[in-house]
Amino acid sequence: MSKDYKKAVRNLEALLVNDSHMSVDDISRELADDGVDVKAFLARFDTVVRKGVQHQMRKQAEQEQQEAKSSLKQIFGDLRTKSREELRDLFEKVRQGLFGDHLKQAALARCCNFTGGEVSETELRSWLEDIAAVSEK
Amino acid sequence: MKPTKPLRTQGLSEVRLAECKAATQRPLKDLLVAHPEEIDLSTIAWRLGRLRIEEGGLETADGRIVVPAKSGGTIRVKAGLNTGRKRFTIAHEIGHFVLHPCEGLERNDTAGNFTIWNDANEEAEANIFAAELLMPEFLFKPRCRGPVPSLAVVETLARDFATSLLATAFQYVTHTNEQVALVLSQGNQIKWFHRSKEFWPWIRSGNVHPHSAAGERLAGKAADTKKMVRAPAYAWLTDFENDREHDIMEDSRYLDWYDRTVSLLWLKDDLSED
Repeated sequence: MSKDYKKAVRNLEALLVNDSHMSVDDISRELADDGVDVKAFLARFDTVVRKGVQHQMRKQAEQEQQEAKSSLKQIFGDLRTKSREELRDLFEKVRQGLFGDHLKQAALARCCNFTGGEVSETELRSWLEDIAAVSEK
Repeated sequence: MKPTKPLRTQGLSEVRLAECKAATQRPLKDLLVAHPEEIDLSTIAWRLGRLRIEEGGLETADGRIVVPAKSGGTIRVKAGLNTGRKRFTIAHEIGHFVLHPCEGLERNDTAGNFTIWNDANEEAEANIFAAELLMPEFLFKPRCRGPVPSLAVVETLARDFATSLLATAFQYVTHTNEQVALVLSQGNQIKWFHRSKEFWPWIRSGNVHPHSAAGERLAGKAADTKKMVRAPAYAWLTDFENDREHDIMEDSRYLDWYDRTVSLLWLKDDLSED
């Protein structure tokens, strides 16, 4: 195989721009004759494309999450400063529908697995944070 | 002595098992996953249902999912979990979202839920989903064929896939072509076992046998085996109670986080020969 990779790349480029008369096998053969490791090239190409697409997806997801986060309102006020009793009271109000039907539905649904005494203050607080996040959907 | 081959382990039906595994294909294909490190749970969760992942805010549970609508919600994981446990917990909650959709989905998952693989309920299904999402067959199977079975091999796989030892061991037994079985014990009690297709003997239930390496460890006579060691076949297998000739291989380790002992059994020698 030719070690002249620059030449091989030139040939590759030439083939890429004018390959209408050739089959895929023909192109592969010709590239191989010119020193291109077609299999390795395609594998690298595939990796580059895949990584690029994954990167785009990740960035898009991060951006959308950031936007969603920035649009959150503190419908329950500052949960960090509330006592356990206040948190329980808020939860009860949500359950009674004082914060709207959507949240009431969500709170009622949560009750199916709610085991009162076992939920700590921290968990109750994070639970309300998650309900608040849902309210903005 | 030539024991008869037992029925398959009780658990999820083959159809449901296949459904749980198949449900992982969409997110993996969507993300063009071709290597273990490309399984990005945060992106998968968001693209599947605008689920955001939060760490912390849990004390009495490892994970929680709050999804009052078909799209949009929060998966929470307990702070301080190691990478493998954290990823498995997130994948488990994604599994609930995909497999058990309902209005007002809310689940709290504790450590115990991750040890009920053979119970035909939603927790077991979410575990199957999580294992397949994190260790998809097309990536996992080629990697677990070849090396001599041991928990060290499982540990290497767990590192590659960033998964917990227990979850990886379960998947290893599912995909290897070796005659291996995974046994989980809680205290002195055998809780469940999972056998590879090639592992034909039936495993004892009830107490961990004192002559097994796991039994010796529980009795304080030995530490974790750290490799495959010989154990009398009667210590693990039914139909071998009166057999003093055959041994099997065993690698046992105590998992302090789960408070369980995991034992990997291997039929290195052919037990069916007289």
